[in-house]
Amino acid sequence: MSHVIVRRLAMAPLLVVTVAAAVFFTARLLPGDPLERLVTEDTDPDFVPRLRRQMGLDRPAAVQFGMWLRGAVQGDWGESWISRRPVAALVAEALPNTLRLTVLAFAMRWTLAVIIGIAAALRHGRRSDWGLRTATLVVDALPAFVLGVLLQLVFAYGLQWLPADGMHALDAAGLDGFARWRDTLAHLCLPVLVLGIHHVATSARFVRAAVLEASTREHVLAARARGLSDRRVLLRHVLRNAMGPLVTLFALSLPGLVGGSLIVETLFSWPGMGRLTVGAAQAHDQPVLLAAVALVATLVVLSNLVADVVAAAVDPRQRREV
Amino acid sequence: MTLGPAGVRRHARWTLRTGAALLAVWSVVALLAPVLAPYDPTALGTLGADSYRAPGRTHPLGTDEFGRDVWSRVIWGARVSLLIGAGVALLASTLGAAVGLVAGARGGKVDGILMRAVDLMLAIPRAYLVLLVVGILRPSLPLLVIVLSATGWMQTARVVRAAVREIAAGPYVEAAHALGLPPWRILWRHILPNAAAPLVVSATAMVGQTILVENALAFLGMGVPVPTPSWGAMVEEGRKVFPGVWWVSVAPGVAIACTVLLCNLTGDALRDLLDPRAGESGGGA
Amino acid sequence: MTRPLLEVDALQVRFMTELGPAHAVDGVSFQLDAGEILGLVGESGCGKSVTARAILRLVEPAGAIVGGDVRFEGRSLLGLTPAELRAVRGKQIGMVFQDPVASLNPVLTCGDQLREVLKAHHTCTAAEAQERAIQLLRRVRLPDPERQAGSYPHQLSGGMCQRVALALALAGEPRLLIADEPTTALDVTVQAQLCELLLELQAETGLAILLISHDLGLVAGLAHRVAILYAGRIVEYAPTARIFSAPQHPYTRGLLRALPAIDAEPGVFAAIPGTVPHPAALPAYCRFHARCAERIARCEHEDPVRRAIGPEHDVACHVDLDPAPVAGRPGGGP
Repeated sequence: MSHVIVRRLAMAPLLVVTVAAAVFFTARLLPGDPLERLVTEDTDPDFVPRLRRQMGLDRPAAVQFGMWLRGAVQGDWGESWISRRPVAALVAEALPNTLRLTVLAFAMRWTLAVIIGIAAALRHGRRSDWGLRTATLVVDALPAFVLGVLLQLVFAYGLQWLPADGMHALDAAGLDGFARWRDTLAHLCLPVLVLGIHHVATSARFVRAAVLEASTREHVLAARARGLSDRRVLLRHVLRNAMGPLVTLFALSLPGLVGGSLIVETLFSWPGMGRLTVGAAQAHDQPVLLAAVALVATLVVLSNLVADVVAAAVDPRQRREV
Repeated sequence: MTLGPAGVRRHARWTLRTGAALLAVWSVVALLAPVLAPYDPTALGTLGADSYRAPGRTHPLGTDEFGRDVWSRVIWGARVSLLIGAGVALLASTLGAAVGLVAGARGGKVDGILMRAVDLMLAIPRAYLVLLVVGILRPSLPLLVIVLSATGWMQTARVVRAAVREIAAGPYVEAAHALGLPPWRILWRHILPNAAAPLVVSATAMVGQTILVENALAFLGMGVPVPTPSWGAMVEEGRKVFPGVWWVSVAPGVAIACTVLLCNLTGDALRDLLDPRAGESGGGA
Repeated sequence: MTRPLLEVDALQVRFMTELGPAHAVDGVSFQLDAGEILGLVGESGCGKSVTARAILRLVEPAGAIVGGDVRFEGRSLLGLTPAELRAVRGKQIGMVFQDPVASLNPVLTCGDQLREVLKAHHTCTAAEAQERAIQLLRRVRLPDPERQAGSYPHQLSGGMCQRVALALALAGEPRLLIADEPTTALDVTVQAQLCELLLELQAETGLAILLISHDLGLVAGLAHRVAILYAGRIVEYAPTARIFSAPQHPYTRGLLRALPAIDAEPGVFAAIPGTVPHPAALPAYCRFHARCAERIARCEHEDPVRRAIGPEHDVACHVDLDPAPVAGRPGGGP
């Protein structure tokens, strides 16, 4: 089995380059001249052609990709057309903020999903199970930004229990110790809540399905017939067998860690990758946009790979089929 | 109270009828927006005097910053969203079905290449890809439909391919082949009708999904351009005046939720009836 | 006369189906003495598996036991608390199922599963449990037990899995074994081996076996007594020899006729026409009426009640048939 993993991992660099290429060529091959946006009435007529030459935009696309890729590997991702700051620095600031948000939301979502899912599976057929399914449909229909706006309205503007946006209070630098910690926590609350519960219902539904499927198998009945206690049957025979699909589901949602926070970051003015990308798109700031999308896409594809490997490793039955 | 398989079907039929009926009504209202809306959604009122009037008799959902009637804008927004949703579902389904048919029917290398492409595209987060394109070009309604379709056909392709492979391996296709029927005829008359069920289910699900994505983009300012009314954009605009003036954001927000809920309910019921295997257990995350 | 080991008394089990409530088991009564093998025979859908599961109350929550009683060693199993029931399962009454591979936990080794059950029923250390597990595997004639204890179910053949399942069922040293179609999923040669094993175990330990099967031939080779089940009711109940030599119920006769005989005309099959009625759509008169070759007018109005027509021979039928031998009976007997 280990050579399956090795083979998959060996594909990783190729995958990264392919994704980067896909993103790059999508950007470059779109019609229109990106630089013309920078032209205003009193721009020097030579400015744009000079800039074009400088940036290598007059070279064939394939060459441009090579240049860009080489620069990227060395850490040079160009400069923002708007702020003139190096893109790499912008990303280095933004990525950890995103991760802080998404990792917490992830933990919240899956903890809740597992609890709710198992509870619903155990109450299969009864009214509480049906209630969960309905709640799923309703919550799924609520887009993240509507949910976020509603929560903002109620908790931030209405009750004023939590701050409405940002990562720290404006005077956070002056705080220290517990007060500072509390301020960070307060700012994390709403965005994590929105991200966390946004897909809880769907995840819980999958957990429920996996547990239900595992509990209706014949060996569970046989275990009960052999006199094992309900708790033992649940833990060792039902959940143990539901682990496979559950871990797979969990791994499959990993990509969301990097790519799932666009809306929430914009809504709560959270300075992460999502807001960086949206800002770049709104301002038509190509270098930043390109780098951000390429990075996120690459990370997502890589985490998909990890998910596949984990899924293959989990089920002993699959270990045989190499 | 356990619902056996028969109970699920009965429940699904009821949900489908109710959901489809409500959706049809809403769609008609939306389509007839030019006729049914009490006010012109883009007509600017007198700034100041008409701005932010609370819901009342003349304006059931109040007015926004520019004195425009919120209820009219909501109906117009429904028109835009439902049209985009249906348009993308149609376009993406056609594209996905074509790819799925070819991949499933041809098999071998063609299948391998196509499915790798599908996997790759599925792996790249859709929102970011759309932002990339819309961030380089100027957002417009046709562009949105194209980009959303170009990033939304993959799941359909997978589903159709799976259905085609399942049927093509079946005995009666082999029989048709043995009888000397040309391949396209086999495809058209035997394989396609059987792939229809999962295709329809997939397409219906896409409407709701598309409405969500399209409004999320509008919220970010990358959706249909002003002055076309768009729910997502309305939600964004209304944030400025929280919490005193809440109706400008909440009304379109509720409209999105209800419309998507209707689409999802109808889609789920349709799936329970047409393709029950695609339901509860497992499936993609 | 000693008390029977197992008494099933007018048992009724109800399920909810698409067509409404159905009594899959509708007034089934039989007894099993210690050391005896009783065969419960019937087509698919006649309620035999449900009866088996109902004894250990494994039909809940999908099905409900709505009538009758099940007594083991004189004690009603239906009135037990969950804890008391668990003490019966595996320790007093063991069970093996039809699909051997499916009845084992795929993510645990055979040894793991054995040790688990052993520890649940006996107090022993891990080492003792391991030792006992291997002994059990040896007892069910599993080749190379030390190595197989570390195998996973998917690495074993069907026959071997069934032996492991048997070992698991016997781990608690029960007095009764319920075998629900134990050989149906196995090859014929493996079937024979498993039957031999069951007989050996019964001889060694005095185990009573409730053998559930649709295979009359299998039952002929193993059982002391046979109960024929149809549409949730027992239609004939007699010692094996009598069932084969002098079957009374038209259904039993039909089943025996349907067994292909080695000297019968090739291509001729004497199937019983029609199919088993749906449990939710049973007539108020004789349930076998529609398929019966011996029916009389009374059969369409009155549901036959089970009555004794000889020593230890019960039948539920209005018609008194000639106890003539039927063509095509299989050889062998207990």
